[in-house]
Amino acid sequence: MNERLGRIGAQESTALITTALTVGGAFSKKSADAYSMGNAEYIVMPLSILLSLAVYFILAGAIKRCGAKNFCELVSGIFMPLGCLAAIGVMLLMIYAAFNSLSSFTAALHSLFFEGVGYDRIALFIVPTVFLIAMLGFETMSRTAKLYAIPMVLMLLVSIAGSASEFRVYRLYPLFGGGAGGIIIKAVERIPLFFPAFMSLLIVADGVNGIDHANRTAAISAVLAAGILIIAHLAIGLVYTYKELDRLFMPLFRINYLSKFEAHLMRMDKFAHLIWMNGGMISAALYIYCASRIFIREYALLDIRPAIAVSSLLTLILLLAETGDGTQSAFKICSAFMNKWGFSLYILPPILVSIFALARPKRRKIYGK
Amino acid sequence: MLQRFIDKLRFDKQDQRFELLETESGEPKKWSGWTEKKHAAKSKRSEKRRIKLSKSVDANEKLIKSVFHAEINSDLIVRRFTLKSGMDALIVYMNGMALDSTVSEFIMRPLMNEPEAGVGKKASDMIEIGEVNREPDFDKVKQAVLDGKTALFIDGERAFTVIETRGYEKRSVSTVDNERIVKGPKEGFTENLRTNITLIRRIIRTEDLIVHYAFTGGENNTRLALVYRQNITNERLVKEIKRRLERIRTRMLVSTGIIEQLIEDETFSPIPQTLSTERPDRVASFVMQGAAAIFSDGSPIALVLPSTLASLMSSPEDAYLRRPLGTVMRSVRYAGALISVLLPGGFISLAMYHQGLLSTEVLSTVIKSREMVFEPLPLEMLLLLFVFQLIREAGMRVPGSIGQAIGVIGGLILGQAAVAANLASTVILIIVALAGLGNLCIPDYSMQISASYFRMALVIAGWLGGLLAFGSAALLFAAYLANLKSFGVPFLTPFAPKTYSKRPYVSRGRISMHRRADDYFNTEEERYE
Repeated sequence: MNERLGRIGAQESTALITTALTVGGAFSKKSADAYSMGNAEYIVMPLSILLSLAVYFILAGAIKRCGAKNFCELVSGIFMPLGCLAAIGVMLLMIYAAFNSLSSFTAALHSLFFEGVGYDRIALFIVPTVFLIAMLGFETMSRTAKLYAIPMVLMLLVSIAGSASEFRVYRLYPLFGGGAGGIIIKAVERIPLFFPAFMSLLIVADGVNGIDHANRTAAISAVLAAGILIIAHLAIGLVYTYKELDRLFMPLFRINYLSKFEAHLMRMDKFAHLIWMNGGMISAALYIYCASRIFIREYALLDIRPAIAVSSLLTLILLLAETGDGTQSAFKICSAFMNKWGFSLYILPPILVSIFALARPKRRKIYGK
Repeated sequence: MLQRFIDKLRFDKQDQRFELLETESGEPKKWSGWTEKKHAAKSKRSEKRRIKLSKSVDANEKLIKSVFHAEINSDLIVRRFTLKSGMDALIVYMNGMALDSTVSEFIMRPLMNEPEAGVGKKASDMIEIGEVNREPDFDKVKQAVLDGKTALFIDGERAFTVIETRGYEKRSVSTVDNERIVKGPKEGFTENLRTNITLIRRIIRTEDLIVHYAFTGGENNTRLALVYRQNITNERLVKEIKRRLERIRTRMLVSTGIIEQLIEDETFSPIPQTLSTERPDRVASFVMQGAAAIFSDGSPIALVLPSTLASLMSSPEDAYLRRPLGTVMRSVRYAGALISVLLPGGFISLAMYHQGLLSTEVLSTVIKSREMVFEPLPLEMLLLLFVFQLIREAGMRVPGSIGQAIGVIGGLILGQAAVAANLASTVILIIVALAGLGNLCIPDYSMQISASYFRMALVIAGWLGGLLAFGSAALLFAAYLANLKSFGVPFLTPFAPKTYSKRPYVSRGRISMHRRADDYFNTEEERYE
């Protein structure tokens, strides 16, 4: 079987998952939705990561208890013949996550970089790159993430530092957004931004040296990503009021305009966007790889490459559908549903699977004996 | 070739790559288009064809003359003589490859003067030369004669005595041409294999330094030497190198440059996966770490395996200079490489699509300098990059002082003339010159060429799609590097994957910390610790 999985160490897996979580939390949410109930994203995001991590640990516990090596084996063991349908479900959710990682960047390129250039032409640069990275395999994309993670975080910190002169504490009002209840609701709604990254870790658990190593990676990545997102969203909150944010697209990109020290030679905003976009591409490649892996494992296919091609094509279709004429309204309905209730699709089936698996006798190997 | 392509497309075949790190699994992949089955069948056939030696001098003389085409091959010396004891003997060697004086003084004279030679005492005991071997295999005798040794046959035996008499003309050890350093040893390898091994042995005076000689590869039977440290260099690595060397089948193998292409993991990659060097101190430092080196007779270049980006970007001088200086030099080198690859493409994407990113001063300078230039900006960049390559190539192919003159004429006069003729603008000229200088900072010649290809690709990407295409191409370039492996070691080690290393690769570590080998060599001592 040609899975192109390889095996990676703790630093690479942490870099990959942290990149995916950071991209999910910092760049892939529409501002109007994110700041509709006040500016408390710096609390919502880490809370959402925490909730996703909790679901991850339940699922990881179930996998370990069943003696499976990864999530794919758990699905095969629990669902038996219906595993094929479950795999398609997971595959589609991962593809949606890939689309989520790229959507904001594509929109930003369309509106801020190449005004007047269609989504299709922009997507035709992005998706083939994602496809090729996914084709190179999990090991390669993790190593690439290791190369890009530090510049990505550095660029984020430089952007924030550049806008520090504009920080005003009063802009954080209202301090807790829509109150505790609102924060919890928002945190639950944000789960689709983070859970796919944790889920992908379980799908490729054998590539990160087993579930125990995956758990450690998940915990470290969660702490790192939560830290980065708190800094990023707090900085956004200190620069813009929630009313301004409600109308502002990609606030992290906008705060680059405020920096003073970069005006002498060239502006850095688009360079920063470029580095972040590369992070988005790596995350999308991870989700596409994982979608393809669970599919080929469940259908006993011998090569992952055709599945990666199909998954990439579906991601491209979603990106084009976001602005396409005929599908626009249908897509908007689906998109609104995913934004509001997507968390249920991401966390309820895994919780049910976990309960079912945990209810079985301990240490009974259900797959690959 | 076709089979390799088909293998790549097959769905049921695992992507097989040799992995040196123990954390990774994998089997050696097929390479050179030879399958195990075919190779085994060929070995069996050659086993069957093995020629048997006779006990008679006449029969063996006839055999030698027929195999070496003695009637038309005037280089072969076949001398038949009689020992003092009255026994017939035959001596065979290649004129020019073996020393005539050694043959007559230390082989023939004792045998013709000693009455007991071949009767009471063995003939080999009479010979006054250190290296004397009994060889019953005719193929090996033939190989030894071609290598400059002398073969002696005495009537009644079913084996030749092979005597070391090699003594051909060779270039003496001189200073290196391509890897010059200010502070450190100056001598470089020569075309003579024996001399090169001696140069290594003079630096590594340990009993575990193993030199494995083999006639491998081409039909011209080039002698290779594999150098490694027993119980230090990973055994799997040594085995894998030997396996790959044994499978070389080509018409001609005259240099390590050809061997490199035949044994590396990714044959079609523009990036070198072995380190080529002509410096004994450089080879010795890697072998001490746990790497292996391949030498070829007739080539002054050694191949060091495995190699990584960090090793290709290092220079021996880094270690000879004080730590802060070494760190600065290495940082400048990395910065130069990045400038060389990224600057032209980045500039094109900014100037073509994102002019707003450039400050007014920079933008007005660019516009002013391009006022009268008639070709589009990307074409101008590509043209100048091509001209730079032309000047470089021309400068390298002509003798030293003329080469330097070409560089000066090309750089100054041609540049000035191009600006005056409105063929190029000064800003682009400066960018190309900076990229060229950065390129020359890369210590490895093959890496310099690879960097220039990637630079061109990034310029074209920037031209086609601005920062979006430039960023995507740079990401793919990084992913490609991350995907490469050199003899099972990821090419970007120790950056990605991160491995234990006491000497950080951009900043130079403390020499006193270099007690252990770098982790990625996965040395034997480390494995059993």
